[in-house]
Amino acid sequence: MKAPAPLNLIAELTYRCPLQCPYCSNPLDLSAYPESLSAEDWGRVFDESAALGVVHVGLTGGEPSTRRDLEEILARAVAADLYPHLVTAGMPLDSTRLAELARLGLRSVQVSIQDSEPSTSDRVAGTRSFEEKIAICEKTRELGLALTINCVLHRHNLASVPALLELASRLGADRLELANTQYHGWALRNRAALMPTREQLLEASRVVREAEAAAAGSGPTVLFVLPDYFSDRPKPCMGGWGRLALVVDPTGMVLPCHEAGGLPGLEFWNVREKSVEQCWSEAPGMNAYRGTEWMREPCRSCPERERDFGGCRCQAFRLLGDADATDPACALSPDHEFIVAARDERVAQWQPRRARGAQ
Amino acid sequence: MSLDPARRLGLSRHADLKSRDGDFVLVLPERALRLGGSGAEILRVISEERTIGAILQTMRERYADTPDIESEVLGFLDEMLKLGGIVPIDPAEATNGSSPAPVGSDSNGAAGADRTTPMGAKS
Repeated sequence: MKAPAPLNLIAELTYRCPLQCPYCSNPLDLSAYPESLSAEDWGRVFDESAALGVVHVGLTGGEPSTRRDLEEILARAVAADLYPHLVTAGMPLDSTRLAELARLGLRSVQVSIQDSEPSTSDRVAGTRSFEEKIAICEKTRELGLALTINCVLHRHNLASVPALLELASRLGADRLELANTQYHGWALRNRAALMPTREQLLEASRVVREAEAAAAGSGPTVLFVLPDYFSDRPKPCMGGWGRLALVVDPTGMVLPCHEAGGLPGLEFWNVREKSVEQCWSEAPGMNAYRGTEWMREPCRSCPERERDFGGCRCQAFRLLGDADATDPACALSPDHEFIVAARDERVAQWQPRRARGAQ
Repeated sequence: MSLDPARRLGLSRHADLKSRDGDFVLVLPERALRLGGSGAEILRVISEERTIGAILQTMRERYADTPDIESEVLGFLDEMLKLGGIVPIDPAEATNGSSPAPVGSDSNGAAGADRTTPMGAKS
């Protein structure tokens, strides 16, 4: 099938990060991912992506501010007529550097926090970082950039949702993403330590609805979606495989999502060897799950196949060993029992992400 | 969000309208929306006229053969307000020179935002 024109580029500038969050979606073994794209390489990726239709670039990682040439990379994104959005943990970025990025054309910033209080946030992050994060939020507002605060939710911080709503409002955030953990990478390894209860999720959902009704359109836009482990239907992962967004990882591989490089047997191409257009349109891996032709039953005849695009291929592989299978998060999947059983798994403590093998 | 005809609207300063291969795309901090025809045209009109009543009047004139143009425009404005692509403009703010961001000068075809995608958030 003809490849659709993508709108978004997710530029994973590095996998390095000073935090050790137990739900990190970085690959487990970073030694397989030597960082190899220079600022000049990224400039070519931006130019070729814009020519393909891309309008927006998320500068992400890992932690993008660990790159000393982030300013040069950003300037190249601006020159390519992309809308630059920085996804940051808030450190080692500092206010002076953020001001310089704004001067160069940065438009919006997403800052991750791990909880609403310094002690609990720092515990999840594995390092003192909360105060730095809040300082970056404040500087973002001072500079007139759009501010999104992102907090990944799990059973140890779902009770903080009211405090997170208050914090985002106090900081003047435009948007608060209350992102329930997706179980990939380190999060899958720590699933039983992170899995919330249905009651926690329903309570958080109720709190968000009430806060939105009380705010009546003022204050931050709040995003809270029940996680797929507690829904009956899968999420439309990335808006569909190879459909709206492309990921370029730190080595230059072009992927449909940041996990897909771990699927065996799929051939993806690298921007060091091919153009972005070739990597997006022609790589066998990019075409493996485009559209609906690849689907088996029950997806193939499902009236929702154009809405959820069969869910997440990586989740099907990680849980079932078969990337072609129906996402087991779907209640119509013959393997849905794996998801149902996981809802009740509990261990007390997570394993922090290790940076071994990182650059 | 009220859709009172006297209400003034502008493109958010965090929003851009970009053109790619003949299509218009509204770009927001965390998402991008491909605009089918009148969507791009409405956003351009907002930069010129700004009150909801004036926007409706202009679009009624341009789409005289489309009987439900008014409800289409109001639906689009409501969606854009919820997404933060357009924002209410305080009259005092507008006279202070705090004008909304300019938008592109071309437009094409018919009706609404058709594709949106979330950006970059990883767990």
